[in-house]
Amino acid sequence: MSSRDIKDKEIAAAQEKGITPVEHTVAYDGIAVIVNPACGVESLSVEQLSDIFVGTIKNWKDVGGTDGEIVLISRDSASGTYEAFKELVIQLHGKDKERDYSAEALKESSNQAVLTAVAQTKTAIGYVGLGYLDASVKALKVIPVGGGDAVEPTVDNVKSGAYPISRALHYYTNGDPSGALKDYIDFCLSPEGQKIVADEGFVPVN
Amino acid sequence: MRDSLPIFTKYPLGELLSGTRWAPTSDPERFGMLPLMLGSLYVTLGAMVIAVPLGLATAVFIAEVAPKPVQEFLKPTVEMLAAVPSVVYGFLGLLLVGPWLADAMDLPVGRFAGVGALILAFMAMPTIVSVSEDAIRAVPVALRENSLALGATRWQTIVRVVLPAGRSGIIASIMLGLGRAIGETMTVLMVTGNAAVIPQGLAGMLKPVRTMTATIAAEMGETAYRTEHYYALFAVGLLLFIITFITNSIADWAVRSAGGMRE
Repeated sequence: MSSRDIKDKEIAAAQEKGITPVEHTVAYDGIAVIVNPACGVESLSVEQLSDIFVGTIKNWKDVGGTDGEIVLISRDSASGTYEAFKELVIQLHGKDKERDYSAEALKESSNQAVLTAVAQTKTAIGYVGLGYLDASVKALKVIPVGGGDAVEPTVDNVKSGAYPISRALHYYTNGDPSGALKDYIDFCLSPEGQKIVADEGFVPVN
Repeated sequence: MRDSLPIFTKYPLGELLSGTRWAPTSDPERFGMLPLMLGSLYVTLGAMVIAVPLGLATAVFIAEVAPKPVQEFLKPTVEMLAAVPSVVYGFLGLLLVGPWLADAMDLPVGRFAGVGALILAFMAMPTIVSVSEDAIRAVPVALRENSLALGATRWQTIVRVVLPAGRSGIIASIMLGLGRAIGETMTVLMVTGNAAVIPQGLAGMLKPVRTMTATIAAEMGETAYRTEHYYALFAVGLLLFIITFITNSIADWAVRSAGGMRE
């Protein structure tokens, strides 16, 4: 199970060992950008978010919020969400591979820990999977790369593709699945399986 | 050990040790361990600055000053502190101590080196207290009696006679406490913020840091087997082993030399 796409380097490494990774997309997920309700900002563009996480924008007043040093809360580098956010936001959908997280970003080991940190810290900004959102933080509306309307992170907006920070969740199998493995993946993609996906706050594939 | 070697063939040792950026998943990857070493140094030394005076004072109080019933209450209480799992300390730091300190000192975020140092100080203290208390008790009564007979006050006896005589055991207790603090993982992972930046001066205590132990714990689980990142984490582990080996050797040497000195 992976919350980011497999890297070319990893496919090559797998093939070297005689493993053929086959991708099965079982759900979609939006990554919500969350802030403490005290920051005074409602929406940001992907470009602004990128500058914030790279560390070139350091104060909320530069993006129309209340004066205060921005505290970056990131997942740690072992997380798929970390990689997905880097590609989708920091590198502006993979356009600028040079851009990377500021070294000063705090690293938390789970979505829940990011939520706690943002809820505790008045000037924090972080990101979590859509399924983890709760009332202790505010989810920002996001303006897509190149401009447009600010889009709220909701299941419908991820499904329609309007929300700019979304990604696929995959299973990877060695070769085409068979037997119990095939039954399991078929179940995940069945209406019953996809209902569980929706109940958990993620976005069904069909 | 063997798994850490390939990284040294690709990057020279000097570059690994003095590199200022730890970004194992960037492109190109960077494995500068300096921020991690300094992170560990800040948190550990910070913990020692708090734990050594407090721990020594407690040990002296329990061994020399406190009346019997107080001794019997204090000793197990301090030792109980050592039995609390580190994740519990981490949780306390995360939810109570961190936010409270940030509020009190008007800091932007409640996860920084100082919180880790404070919590680690409480974790290292039981070791320091019980080992140095034993060292103080092991000082022969004759020395104390002689000192008092010569007209020294109780305070003078403790500071000028008992503590110097128990010196080796006390140094050993400090080194053991240091080993406990530098090797601690869960607590620091939870409370220090884990940003791999180089701490600057004293103000660095109020900024997030990333320690060597926390790096290994956070990253090892999802690192692809036998990649450079994997080897680099083993190299961090090797470095940590060397550091703890040195502190433990010093402690061992101090304990050994204690025997000869007391005669």
